[in-house]
Amino acid sequence: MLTVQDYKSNDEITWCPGCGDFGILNAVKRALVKLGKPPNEILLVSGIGQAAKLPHYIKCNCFNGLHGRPLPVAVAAKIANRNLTVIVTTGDGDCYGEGGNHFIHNIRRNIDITVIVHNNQIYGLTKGQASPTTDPGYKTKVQTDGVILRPFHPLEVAIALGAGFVARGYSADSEHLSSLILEGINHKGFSLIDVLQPCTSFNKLNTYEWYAKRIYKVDADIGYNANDKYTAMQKANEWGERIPLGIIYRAQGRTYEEASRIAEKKPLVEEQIDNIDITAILKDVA
Amino acid sequence: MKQIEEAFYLTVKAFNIAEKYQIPVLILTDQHLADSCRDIDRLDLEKARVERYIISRQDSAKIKDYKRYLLTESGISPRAIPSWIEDVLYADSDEHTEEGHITEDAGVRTKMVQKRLYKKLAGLGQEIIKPSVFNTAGADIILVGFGSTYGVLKEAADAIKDKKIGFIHLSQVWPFPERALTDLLRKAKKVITVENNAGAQLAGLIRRETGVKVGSSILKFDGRPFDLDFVIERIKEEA
Repeated sequence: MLTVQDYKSNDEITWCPGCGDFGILNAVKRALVKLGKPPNEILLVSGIGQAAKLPHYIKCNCFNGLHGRPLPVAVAAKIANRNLTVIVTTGDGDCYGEGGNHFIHNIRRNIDITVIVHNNQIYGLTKGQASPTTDPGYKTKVQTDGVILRPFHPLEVAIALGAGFVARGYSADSEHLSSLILEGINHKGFSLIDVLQPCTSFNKLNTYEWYAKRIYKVDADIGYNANDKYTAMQKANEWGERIPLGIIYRAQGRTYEEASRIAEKKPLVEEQIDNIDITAILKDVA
Repeated sequence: MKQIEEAFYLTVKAFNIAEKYQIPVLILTDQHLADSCRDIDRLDLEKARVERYIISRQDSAKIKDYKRYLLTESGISPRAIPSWIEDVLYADSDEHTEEGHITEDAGVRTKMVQKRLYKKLAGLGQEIIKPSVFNTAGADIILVGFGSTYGVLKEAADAIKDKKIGFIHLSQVWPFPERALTDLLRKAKKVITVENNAGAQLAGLIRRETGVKVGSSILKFDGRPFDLDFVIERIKEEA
């Protein structure tokens, strides 16, 4: 029987006091305990940012690579060794900004990975520039007259592209978030969990108080049907007075593993490659 | 890469070096080489062996305490497959401890740079491909080139009869074959690089690595390969 202690890392945490990342870390650990897989069968992949530090703070396999590029690494790792449970911890900058193209096209690929986006609506690691999800009008040290670009809508983009599991959690509701993460891991295919996360140092608008007045759970919405794409699109578009949390959209589609038929073969990592015969290929070019 | 055969064997070597030293390897090629067609001898597949440097599944089972960036004499840390070992594996792009966690410790930083830069380069220095050397002893002019200019260097050296023309062709430009080149170039009467770039990159590299100042460079950067007449004419102008 695994406990939270089994996922405890010895690395020193360097997040600010009160950072929403602590709630996400806690939720990830609780989801892993419920999943019941040992640490060496889980891989956490990240890019750059405060969210990207998370894999260091859990005892699991970790690949902390380049800014915006956790998705290509996660996809490659899953293809090479699909027995690993692959989870990406990324941020609104890393995933929707620098990694936007990977985000779009790996939703289309629908490989079985879970993507947790720490969405604090600001670049926290670099001390407070506007990210793709910063609310219009918000003033930063760089956007001194306020943000003039329209925000990126991750949930709507994911639903439009047919992602099979699109959810939104809140870092301060760790229990609800951990259940979303567990459901995302268990979903076969690409899962997106966008997590609202206050940044106590650099986002003075979207604070704990700001969220507390607005968030509600769609689970409690009588008759909410997460399987209906058009309802889901409307729900995903809701932002302002009320902000929905929970599983916004779910649909089971064909996964990359099924479509490419790699699921029928041995995982790449188990293939012997030191004795491959290329004689037949050479005959083709001769 | 000078020719089709070498393109094949060096690509195999590139993969093996990347695997052995856990580094990226760059293969320099160009459209002239890629679009060339010619008959070649049958490729020797015995020389195209895939070398693997991963901890075997059997040995992995015994590993309970793993450090991805273990400091070793060779600078190479044994590479494990996640889930094969009982321990977990931390891989990191920022400067890291032996365990793979981010660090800003100056002492660790120094050791990690030494590991990557000095120790691995010492091993790589043993694997440098020797340059092809032709007719350089007592030559009036030594031509130097790399990549797909091999053919035109050789033809030009053969075609010019009134002067003794030798040539040196590099199949590897980094790590630089400094030891092989320094003596040859120091003794040369005149050295001319023949390069498909605007900045005489090879001449600059030779000067930096051997201290020899190349006499002149024949450059072509119109997006087309050298032709023999052009090179012969330019050599005659330089001579």
